[in-house]
Amino acid sequence: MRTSSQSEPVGRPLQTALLKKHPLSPMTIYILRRIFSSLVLSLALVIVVFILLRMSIPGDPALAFAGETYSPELVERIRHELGMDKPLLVQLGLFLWDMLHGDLGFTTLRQPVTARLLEALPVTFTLALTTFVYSLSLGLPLGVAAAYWRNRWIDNLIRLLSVFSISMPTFWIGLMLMWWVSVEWGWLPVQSDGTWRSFILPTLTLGTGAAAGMGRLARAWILEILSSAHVRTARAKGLSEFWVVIRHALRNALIPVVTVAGFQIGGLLGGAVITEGIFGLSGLGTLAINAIRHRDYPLIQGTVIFACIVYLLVNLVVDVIYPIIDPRVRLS
Amino acid sequence: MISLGVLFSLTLASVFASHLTPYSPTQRNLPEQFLSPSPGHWLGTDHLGRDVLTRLLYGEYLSLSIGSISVALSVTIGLLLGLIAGYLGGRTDWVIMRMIDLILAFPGIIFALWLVYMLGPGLYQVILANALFGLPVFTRVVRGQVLSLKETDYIAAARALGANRWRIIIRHLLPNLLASVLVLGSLSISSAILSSAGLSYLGLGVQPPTPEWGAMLADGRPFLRSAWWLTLFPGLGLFLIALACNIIGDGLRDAFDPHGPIL
Repeated sequence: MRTSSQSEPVGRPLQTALLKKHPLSPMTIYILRRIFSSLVLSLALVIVVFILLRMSIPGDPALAFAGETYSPELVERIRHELGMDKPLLVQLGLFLWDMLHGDLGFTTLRQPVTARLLEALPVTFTLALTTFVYSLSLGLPLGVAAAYWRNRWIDNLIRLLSVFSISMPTFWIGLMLMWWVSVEWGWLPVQSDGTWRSFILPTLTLGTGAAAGMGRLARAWILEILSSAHVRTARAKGLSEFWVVIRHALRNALIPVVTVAGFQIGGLLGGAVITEGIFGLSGLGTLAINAIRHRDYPLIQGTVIFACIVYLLVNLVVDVIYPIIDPRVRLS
Repeated sequence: MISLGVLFSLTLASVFASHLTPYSPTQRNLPEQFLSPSPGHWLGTDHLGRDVLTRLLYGEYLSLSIGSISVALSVTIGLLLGLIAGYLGGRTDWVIMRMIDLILAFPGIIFALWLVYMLGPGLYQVILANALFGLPVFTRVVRGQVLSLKETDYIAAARALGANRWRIIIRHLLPNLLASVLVLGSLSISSAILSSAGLSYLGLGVQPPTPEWGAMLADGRPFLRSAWWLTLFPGLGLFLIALACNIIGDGLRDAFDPHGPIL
């Protein structure tokens, strides 16, 4: 990890130059640039998803709308209604225009796609948040313990457990938890009943692997910081190893670990498809998989675009917050 | 070494599955449905009377093949793109890295779902989805290393001796990249195996009656209360394979990169 003394000589002249040239602070420029690149990426993503889906739609989507008893006239009318008889670029333009107004079209059951997505988002968001809290509160102490007792039996045990957790298929953990906790012992509902109790098993399912990953990361960062000069100074001053780990190593390791955790959990917002499916949670993942099963083309298009944009937004927020909370990465 | 032994024996068992078990992995045998583990059927039978151990052995071959082929594809394409982007730089680099950014903008399994929706469910689609999903990591790592390697003295010396860019890429850069790509590849196999099993669990991967571990888990789910062996053993198999791959990957990393992150 870079220290502030290393980055200062390089950072200062650049900072001064930027300040002279632009009335905005370098930090504002960084944020604006980051927002701009996210917007461009989102636009490119929407275009790619839209065009590739249109070019390779399995079966005619108008047929899916028309249902099983359709006539050629009906299909033709639906194609006209959906705007599918227009050139591809015109269709893309219309889609982008509607999207800017919050309209992602209608599902094959004639429901607004946006409404379905907004219904599902709170479930997925809650699951992502509980998983984040659980994995951080389990992974971080384990990582600290492993680093503190490095190369001792506790460290080896924690490392072994973390490799075990990372290697377990998420859906298998889910099924086993469901078998024992819900089916055998009857402690928690087998399928979601809409209460907070429905989130316990999915959180454990998703969070176990995430906690293991976080523990490994925390251990690695702490060990790296422990070999740096400022920690050597702290030790030389006579600080006990416990306080060295907590005060000097953990505090420095916390920011990157929490950031990586933020990115990981941001990925969950795209849909913990399998876990949601196992426990009957009606989040974005379940919506996506149902859309695929029913060949609901506007819904799959809307879900993919929505999930990607939410994910990019979370990444943008983490990226913007990172230099604010950690001055060392500013302008690097 | 233990992991290597486990992986080797499991691979051998899957390759010679037809010699190890008298049962067919796909033939229905309804009179023998839901038999619990016994000497005749070590891991029991499923809802169609098929021997679970036989299906596991055949399914393992498939899982290992999907994992290795998708990672091999990711490695090959990632190496090529990373080398080109890093060495040529400029517009080529920009275009390649923006393509990679686009793949990275898809959260988790959504990318695979989108691809499988467009191409339809099936074995090759899952391999393609996995390969493309794994591509960004390899491209980024290779590009990063090429960027630092091309500034080194020995590359400058090769250039001064008149070596053309392809000779530099193939003779001088490639051998230096292989170690890290090998380590990364071995660590990626387990996630490729797990994600392909995940897609099959969702019914989007390998189609029935072909035995595949993820699909076997999905088949066993409705019978969780009455026939626990249908979900326990395929998951255990996946866990063992992924564990062996991860430990071997960790070992390779320690061997090739002793100064790397101490995970």
